[in-house]
Amino acid sequence: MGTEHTFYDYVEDGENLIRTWLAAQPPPVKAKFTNWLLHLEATPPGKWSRPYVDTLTDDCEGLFEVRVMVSRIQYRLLGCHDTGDRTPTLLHGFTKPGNKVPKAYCDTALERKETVRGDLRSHRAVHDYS
Amino acid sequence: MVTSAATERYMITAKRDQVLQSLRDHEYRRALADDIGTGIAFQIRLLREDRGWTQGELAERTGKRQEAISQWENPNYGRYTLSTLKDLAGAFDVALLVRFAPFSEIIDWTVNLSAQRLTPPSFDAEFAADTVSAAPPRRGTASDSDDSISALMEQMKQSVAAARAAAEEEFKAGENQYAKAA
Repeated sequence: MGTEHTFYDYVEDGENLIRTWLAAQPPPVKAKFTNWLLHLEATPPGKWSRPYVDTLTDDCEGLFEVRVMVSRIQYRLLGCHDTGDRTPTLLHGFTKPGNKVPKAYCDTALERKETVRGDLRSHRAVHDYS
Repeated sequence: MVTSAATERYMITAKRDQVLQSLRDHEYRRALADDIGTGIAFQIRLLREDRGWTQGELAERTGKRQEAISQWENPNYGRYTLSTLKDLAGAFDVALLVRFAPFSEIIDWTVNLSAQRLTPPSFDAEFAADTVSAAPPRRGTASDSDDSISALMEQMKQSVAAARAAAEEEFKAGENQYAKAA
């Protein structure tokens, strides 16, 4: 048995925005996300829980968060499961201190989620680990 | 998502190419090699759950506090000592490999991760049903000449190339079919 999931990335106007965001981060951050996501892909669905994945609530209902800490800075990726199938899709990456995810970031992710649901082919691509 | 074997092979090949491309950057290569903690944290949690233990039970088996186990299961922790890892390996009754290795091993490990590979069995579980084979190890024979090995290698290369092309085609077909359905 191989991977349990395959991550997909949000794409807008042909640009993979998750790849673009990750490419702009320091190498230790990108490396840690690579390791983290590859391990999540191999982790059975029922075992996605904190501290590996945080399921968000309230204003961010319907999203999950992967929170990586490097040199005391938090780097976060928001994603969702329900874009039409159970494939996890990464929607928005950002850097923000504090425990609570600001509403504006969730709003962006939720808008993108709807965009993906409306047109999977144009707005989603298999996660790129390069 | 259920994937066919061919699709999975294609995905693994794609991931391998992507990770290799990233590793060509020296700074990234060092960062990936240094990030030992992320995988260790996942393995500790998965191994503990596989054994059916609570954090408290693992703490007892390692002589540590439950809070320490909670920290060790956090991929952002990253400050493991060799002593800690040896204690954990002892509790799970698995081997601990700490050695210098080529990057190809990191690539193969990371792109072929699975729940099964992340949760190695204890010694007893691994060898419970083991029977010693009566057959001696296979040795080279006269027919294993250089020529026949070269021919075999060429056949294997062709098979791999054909399988990769078929898997790629199947994956693309699947994607198109899924996009139409969506």
